[in-house]
Amino acid sequence: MTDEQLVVLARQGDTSAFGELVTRHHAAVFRTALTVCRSRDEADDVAQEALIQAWRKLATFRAQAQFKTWLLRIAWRLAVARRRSVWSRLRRFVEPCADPPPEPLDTGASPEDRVAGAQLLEAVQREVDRLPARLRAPLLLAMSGDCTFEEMAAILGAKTGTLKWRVMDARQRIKARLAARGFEWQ
Amino acid sequence: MAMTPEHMRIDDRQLDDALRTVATAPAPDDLPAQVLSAIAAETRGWWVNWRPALVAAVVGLVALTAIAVWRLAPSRPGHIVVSRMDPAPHPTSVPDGPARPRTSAMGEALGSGLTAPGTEAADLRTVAPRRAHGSRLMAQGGPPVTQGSVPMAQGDGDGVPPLEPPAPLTIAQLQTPELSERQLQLTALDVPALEIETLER
Repeated sequence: MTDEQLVVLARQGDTSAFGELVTRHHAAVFRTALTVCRSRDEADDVAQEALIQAWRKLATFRAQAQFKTWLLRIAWRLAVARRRSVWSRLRRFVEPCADPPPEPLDTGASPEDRVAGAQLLEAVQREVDRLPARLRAPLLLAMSGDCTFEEMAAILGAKTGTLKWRVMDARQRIKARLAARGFEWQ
Repeated sequence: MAMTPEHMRIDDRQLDDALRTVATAPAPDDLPAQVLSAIAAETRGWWVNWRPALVAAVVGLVALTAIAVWRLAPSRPGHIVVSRMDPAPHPTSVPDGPARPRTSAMGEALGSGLTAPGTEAADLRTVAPRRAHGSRLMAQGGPPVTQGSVPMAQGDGDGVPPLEPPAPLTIAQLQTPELSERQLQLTALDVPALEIETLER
């Protein structure tokens, strides 16, 4: 069953249909919020709020865009509003980075390669956090594979070409900073 | 030996893998369950959370209505029921038929001539006994008291002197065509017309 069919059922009050939509897209919503908030707790709150708000405003969805795009745009706006709030600023001031670094993917490499991969991952995470928000969000949304550049343009309210340039710029900055930290490029 | 970044050689593929790992952070497992629980709570309806308050409001409304009805009830002691209906023939003018015993205060009021007994029980209202009216009657010596008359509503008038029933009308008085019903009432009560209007109002 497609998203549009589930939306029609959910509009008629079918909570199980909306539950299926939540199951399909909650990870993308969470990651979209995480690109802005950079805190898992805040992103979790924003994702919940976005999904509940989508349920409440389901009647206003006019199917001009895909449901996922509409949903991610709600999450994006809520995350930006949350990040601009006083409490969020105070929290970032008190605990700048409370989340642990992500676990490296298990690729079956040797122990030495795993250690090297963990170090690279931690360094990349740190450099991503140092990026300005206008570069970080397009880079993470593009690398997550949750949406295309056209969908990102609808979510972030920017042109597709601008977003592609920002992703490229973000990659160049990260590579330059990693090189400054001692990583050698092959 | 721990590897330092100085010894690490990386390429674009490794950087992409690292960026993809950072970007695809796993969502909390309980996120869908929490969202669906919140939505289910909303779907149940707002009145579920407000049910105790609604019940309390309904009970309070019923209680207030009961109090209001009790206070405005026409059978409250110390009140006199006045009817605006056209007066029926005085009980004394009824030639045949057994005299019915009057047991209630309302029956006393009807028999005393203060109220005109209507043929229907409609358009009733209550008039609280007025201290000024009673005191004025006392100053005027009160209405004529006849033998055998019983003071009305003795003991439950909150200090208001009881009204004395007037002398019963005779059949001859009732059959006189010149006497209107109004004159009959005035004669029966032997009080000024202003007092009658005050009572009726």
